[in-house]
Amino acid sequence: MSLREVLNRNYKQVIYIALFLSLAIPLISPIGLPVPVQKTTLGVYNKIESLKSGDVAVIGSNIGAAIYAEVYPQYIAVLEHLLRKPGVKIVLVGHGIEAPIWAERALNELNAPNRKTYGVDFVHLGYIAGEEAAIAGLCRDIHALLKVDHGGRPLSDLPMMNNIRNAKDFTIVIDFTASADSQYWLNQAYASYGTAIGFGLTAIKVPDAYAYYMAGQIFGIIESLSGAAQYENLIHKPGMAVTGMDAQSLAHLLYIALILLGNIFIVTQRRVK
Amino acid sequence: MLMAGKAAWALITFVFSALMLLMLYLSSKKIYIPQIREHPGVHAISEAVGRAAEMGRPVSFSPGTSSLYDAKYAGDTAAALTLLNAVAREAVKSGSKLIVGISQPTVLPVAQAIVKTAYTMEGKAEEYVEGDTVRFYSPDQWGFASSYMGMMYRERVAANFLFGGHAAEALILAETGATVGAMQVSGSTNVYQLPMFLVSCDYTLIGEDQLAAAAYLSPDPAQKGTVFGQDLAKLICVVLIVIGAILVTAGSKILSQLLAS
Amino acid sequence: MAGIWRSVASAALLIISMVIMLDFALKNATLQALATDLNNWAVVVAAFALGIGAYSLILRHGRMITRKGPLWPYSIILLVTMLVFVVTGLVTGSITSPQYNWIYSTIVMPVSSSLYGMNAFFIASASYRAFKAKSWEALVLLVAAIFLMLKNAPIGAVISPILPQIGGEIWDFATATGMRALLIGIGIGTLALGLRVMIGQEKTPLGGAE
Repeated sequence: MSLREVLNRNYKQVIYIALFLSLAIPLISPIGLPVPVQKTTLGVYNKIESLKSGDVAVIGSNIGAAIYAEVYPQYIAVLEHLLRKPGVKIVLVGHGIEAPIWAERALNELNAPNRKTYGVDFVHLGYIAGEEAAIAGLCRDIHALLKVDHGGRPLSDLPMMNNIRNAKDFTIVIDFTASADSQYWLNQAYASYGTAIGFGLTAIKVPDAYAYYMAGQIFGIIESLSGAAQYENLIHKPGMAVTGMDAQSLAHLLYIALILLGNIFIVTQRRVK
Repeated sequence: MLMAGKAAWALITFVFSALMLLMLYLSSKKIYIPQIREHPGVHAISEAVGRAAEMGRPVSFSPGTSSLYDAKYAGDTAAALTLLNAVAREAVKSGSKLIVGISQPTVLPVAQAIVKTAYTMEGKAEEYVEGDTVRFYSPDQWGFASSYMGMMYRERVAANFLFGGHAAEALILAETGATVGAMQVSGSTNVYQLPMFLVSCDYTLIGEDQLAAAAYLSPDPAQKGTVFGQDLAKLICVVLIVIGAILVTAGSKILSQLLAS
Repeated sequence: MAGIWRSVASAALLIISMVIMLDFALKNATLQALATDLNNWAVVVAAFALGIGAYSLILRHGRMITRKGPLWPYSIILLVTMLVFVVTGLVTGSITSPQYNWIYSTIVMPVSSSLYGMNAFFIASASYRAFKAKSWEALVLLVAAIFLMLKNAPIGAVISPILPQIGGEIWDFATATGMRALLIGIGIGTLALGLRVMIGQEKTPLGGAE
């Protein structure tokens, strides 16, 4: 039986097995391909590097179980970078119902409570319902919108929140999402207050955000798992993203091979006819 | 009074709104009803439903996983419901079984009313089955996707329509439809999912084509007026882009400074 | 009665929309305070909408169980799972407690990420089945897709540095350009829908079917 006949009959099974192997083998036995840094990732890195003591970084997220494989490594890498910056205030806020779970995981994974002081260096505000209305409320007046943080502690008891009232006090906002809340931050924080915005996105959302990057309205985009791998290399802390790059490379080669194979069969079929 | 940098925003919003409201008024009063060109995808609706009738297999329709209150995709969902009316009437006329899969609770009563009305208008009210023709699956994206996929496999649908605001489940639904051999017509303004639809479906209404097709098929003249008003606003954008490009090339940033907020 | 309700709702919608829009453009302390309050009310309403969503889910699946509707055993599984999550969250006091995290990691994470991960397999089969150069436009799409894949994956730069550069040019000049056009169209469409809702032309948000 020829390759074409096998593919014509059982093409899905063959393709799925090939894809599984192209993902599994590099994860078990890494190849170690270099990961070149893109300008969009460098934009986020340089912006965080430029932060000074007293600057406020608001980290929004809509990470959930579906997208965590792409976006959580970005989140961890950026949070690690921020925790290394002395005096930078970090405000974590969630736009999805699962976001607080991932925020707490990240803080525990990075040992944030022992490296920094809660309420002085970082605060977790938890999930706020309302999508764009929630973001608008944060930008207008945080203390009018929220009285307590994710753990139920009054904001008035958290020293760093005394100086953070609205978007004018945010130095940067970085949103990690696969949903429309990236657009909402642009609408509410950038358009009204001129706040510097960056994103950590899944691959499918990047084209949308890239138009804003080209226009200079956002300072950077961490693009999917490859962006996370680039960021891990920039902060010299390779993690789960770097290990996934070999698998991603082989899978991409498989897709290209399948596209070419499908077209080659079409051309040869036409010639036979 | 007016905040610095907001003057341009206010002017543009006023001009666009005035244009759209004017066209809405003229069309709803039937003073001027603009002509919407027919998109090939509209023919594809009839073709797909006809194919399903010949094969004796059902027609499936999904108006998306967004609600009617969604900030970004409410228009998509509204357009999908208008297209549902057209598909339902075609399906009833041709004698095909129609199955509508619903994700959002807010869309369910609207879809039920539309489909029930379509059956009644074609004189086949008794063929509408409560809870079976229009099925509520799940507000969760993946719950809906797995339910809709299961339905397509079990029912072996011959025509599948995917309109409205679909998210990451778009490719999975479209590929499942291709696997069961359904002819697929899709449409979305969700730019992330359009490539998935383009690759997997027979016809795709790209972006505003879906809204225009809904306006074309809708008996409501105000929808046509809205589409025309939007086109006038886009024309102004094109003029501004051309003028801006010429000015920037000539070394002047006056337009970009004026428009910057 | 329904007509009066719709008129009141339409009027409220118009007034609130005007307040929010005017607050964006004008610098006025009273307007700002009013707009902030209205905005915060929207957040509270959204939070309650989550509860209503859960209630309507319980109602619907409860009916399916009592009437033995299609696939009714799955409705039992749904309600039991929902109960487990709610009770765990309430008893432990937080959705970030170890117990809640455990059931989240055991049930939600594998199911959600598996379904999302299926996309990779479907893209693979779509690449072979549907990505055919049947026309010049399809050929251009195909070639662009290959270069963009080589740009995104590190293997592209390893094969040849020119490959991601070509992909980058396509990304910068074709993708971004097309996206801008679509974004402008979507923005104008959103404005149009907002206007229709504000003037009461669009009845569906107020509960009416057309």
